[in-house]
Amino acid sequence: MRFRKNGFGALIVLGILLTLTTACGGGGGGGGAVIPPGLVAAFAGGNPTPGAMTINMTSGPSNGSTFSILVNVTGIPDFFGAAFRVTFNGATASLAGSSAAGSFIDVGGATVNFNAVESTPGTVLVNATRQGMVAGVSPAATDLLITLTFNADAATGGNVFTFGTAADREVRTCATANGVCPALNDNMLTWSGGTMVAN
Amino acid sequence: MKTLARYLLPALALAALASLPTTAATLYVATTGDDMTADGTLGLPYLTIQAAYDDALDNDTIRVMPGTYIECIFASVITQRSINLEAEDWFVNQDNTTTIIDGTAQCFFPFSVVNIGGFNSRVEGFTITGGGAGGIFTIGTVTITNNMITGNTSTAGAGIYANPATCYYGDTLTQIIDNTVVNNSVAVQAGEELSGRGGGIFVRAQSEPFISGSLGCVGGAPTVIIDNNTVTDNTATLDGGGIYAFTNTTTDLATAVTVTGNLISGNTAGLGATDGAGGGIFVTTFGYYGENFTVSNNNVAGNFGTEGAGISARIDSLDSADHNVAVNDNNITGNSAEADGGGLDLFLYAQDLMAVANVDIEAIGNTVSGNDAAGSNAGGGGVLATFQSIRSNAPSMRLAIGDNRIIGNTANVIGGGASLFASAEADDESLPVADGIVRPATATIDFIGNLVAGNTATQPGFVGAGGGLFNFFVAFGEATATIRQDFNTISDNVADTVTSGGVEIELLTGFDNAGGPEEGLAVLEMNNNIIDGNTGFGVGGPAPGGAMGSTANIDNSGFTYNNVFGSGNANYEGWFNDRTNLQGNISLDSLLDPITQVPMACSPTIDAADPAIGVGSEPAPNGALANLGHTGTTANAATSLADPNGDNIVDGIDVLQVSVSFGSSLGGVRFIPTADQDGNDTIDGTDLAFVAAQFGDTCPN
Repeated sequence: MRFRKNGFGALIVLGILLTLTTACGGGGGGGGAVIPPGLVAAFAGGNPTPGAMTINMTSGPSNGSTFSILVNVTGIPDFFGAAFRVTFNGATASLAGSSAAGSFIDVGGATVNFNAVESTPGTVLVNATRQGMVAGVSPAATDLLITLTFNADAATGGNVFTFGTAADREVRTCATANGVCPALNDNMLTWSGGTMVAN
Repeated sequence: MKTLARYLLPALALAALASLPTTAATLYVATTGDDMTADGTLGLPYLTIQAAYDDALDNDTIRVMPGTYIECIFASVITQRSINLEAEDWFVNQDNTTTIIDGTAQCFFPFSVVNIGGFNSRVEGFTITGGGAGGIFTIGTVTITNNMITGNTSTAGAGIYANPATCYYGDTLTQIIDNTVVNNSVAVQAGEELSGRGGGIFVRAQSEPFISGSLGCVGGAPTVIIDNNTVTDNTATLDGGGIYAFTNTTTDLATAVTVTGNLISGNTAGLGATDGAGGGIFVTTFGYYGENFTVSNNNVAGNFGTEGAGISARIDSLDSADHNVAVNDNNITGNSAEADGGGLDLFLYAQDLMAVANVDIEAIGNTVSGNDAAGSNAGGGGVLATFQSIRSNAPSMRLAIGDNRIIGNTANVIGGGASLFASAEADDESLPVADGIVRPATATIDFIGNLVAGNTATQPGFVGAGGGLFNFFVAFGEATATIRQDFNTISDNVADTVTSGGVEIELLTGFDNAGGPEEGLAVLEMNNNIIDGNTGFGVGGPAPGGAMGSTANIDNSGFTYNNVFGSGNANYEGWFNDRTNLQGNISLDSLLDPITQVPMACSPTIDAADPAIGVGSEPAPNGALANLGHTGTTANAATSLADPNGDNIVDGIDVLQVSVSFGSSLGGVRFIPTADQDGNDTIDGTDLAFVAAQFGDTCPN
């Protein structure tokens, strides 16, 4: 149950804006879970050789119970931005942070907008997008969009990470700086997640 | 005695030096003085105030030393002199209790303890008591300030009786400021006009015309200011326990009376078997021309009366009246009416008004709480409002009740929060026999933007109806009685379970006395209201032609964009028909904050108002639609969910839509209207901020 914003809202908004317009934004907490000592997590993407028009997850750096997921874009011309949800079993993993470092969408010094928040356990709301009256950018082949870092909170033999449903995601492309930017039909896209194992 | 010296010597001097300016003198009075030897200095003061006054010249000051002076001051009756009557101890120690003018066994009808007049006189810093015909009587332009006026009796205005007497003084200004008027009382005197009224203060504000050839009647308009006084524990046999004020114009010079910033408490109107209205304050208009009352920012608490225990404000209008009464921003709490109108009683009477007439009574921004009405007639625990129009349909007639907080009031039978009576008669139904004069009539009450919550209209032994609101229509002949209720929140009110805890509607229509062919029409307009959590029915009343025995003739088609929900019995009583999902009406949990009764985020009442109505002052993001209820269209309205794609969750898709259209304007190819959260036709940082601030927020579908 949410109450109306009060006078502090403007300050909060400013703070969030500053966060959004920097290269690294968002982030969620580990929820205070007690991580079993010696827990080691590993993530494996489900589609190591993506074709065109694909957004997929691959494994990034990991350290003990902390692991990273690289969200990549392959073969989507004039890519402007994407929004999606990452869903998983929140009982064994939680969002630790996010990073825009190395993302291909800030080409040309465009303002970019990254956000990742675990709104409820097991659901992370994500957007990674250019901003303003600029054209999209085409990935060279498979390029990094955003890095998401998670904690493994409990041992699991397989925690499946997906991009949610078609209603929860959107990709827009902009061919020119001032032209239209249609939302791509989800049927044209392939979304590939992965699985985390923690022991 | 220096009287002769003070009169004769100045007279001789004036004869020789007529062109030289005179200097106002200060004459001292002390209990150690001697009127026979006094010269008015501190060394030789007067013994009595009266002697000093008799010797004072225009603009002189009489400074009275501490002590008790048992006398009456006959300082007026149509005097031309302006005198300042001051208590020394007030100016030295801000103490108005040590210099006492006591009229006990000294002052007899019609004279008060202090009778003062002039073009610019002042009484300051005294305790005035023991008057048998009132404490202070003023005439002309007088300021009464910083006095303690207590323990006086009279037939009207026991504490202060202000009569500007514009016939003699022309335009006048009466100021009653910063006084304490406590424990005075008035009683009816047989044959005396308006006696038994104004226990604390009585104001007779009449504008009077110049009368050619009359005995000095120059004519003028009065202005009266009653500001920042404490008026407590006064009693009146009839009306106005604390304050009674009336205006009356027989000329086109307007009157103006302002009652503002006063504490009015513990006063009583209507003693014993006698009825009295306005336990705290009673104001009314009488005349044919411009009359203006402002009653604002007063704290009116714990008063008693037969009707309008807190404040009773009335317009009595005829002909070409131009009467304006504003009762705004008062705190009216804990008052108790023996009959009707526990907190506030508004009455607009219009008879045979000309088209040019303008009569307007409004109550805006008041807090009306914890009052009660024990009667079984008109009810109105918080507010009783009556508009009686007889053969009048002037376009500028208005009774408006807006933006008030009407909370926790009690009526024994009807209208726990408010009772609204709209009565229009093309003929005068009060006449036992038709007089043959029939004219179209209208009466419209606007009830807009009010919070009506937690009121009760049922007591043991009664079948209460209209816990929140009780509406009653009377329309006879070629007449229309209308009640408009827009943007109100009517919640958590209680009435008998077989009646309407929210809004009760009853009517009486018929043909006029003259046998005209047209039956009167009652019109109910209810739009953009929240009616939630009331006992019994949310909206209802006896079927037309049923309990009231009338001919059914009501137009209630104007019931649109309301949310009626959570009623104890049913949301709509049978005859009214269930309006859910018709004409914008919904029946969903309003999600009201239990303390403020303001819709919380995700309330279905947000952005649910008639699209034809703008958002007014609602803060962004406002969805370009107003909210229902008392905060709708106001700056206090709850904001909308910043959700451009409308899926009830603020997520990445919303940010993406703002980002992709960022910098575009209305008409541009990238412009996404729903991304324009602030409605300024440009997608900019503000829109992004709204979405960002709510990122992750969700509302249940």
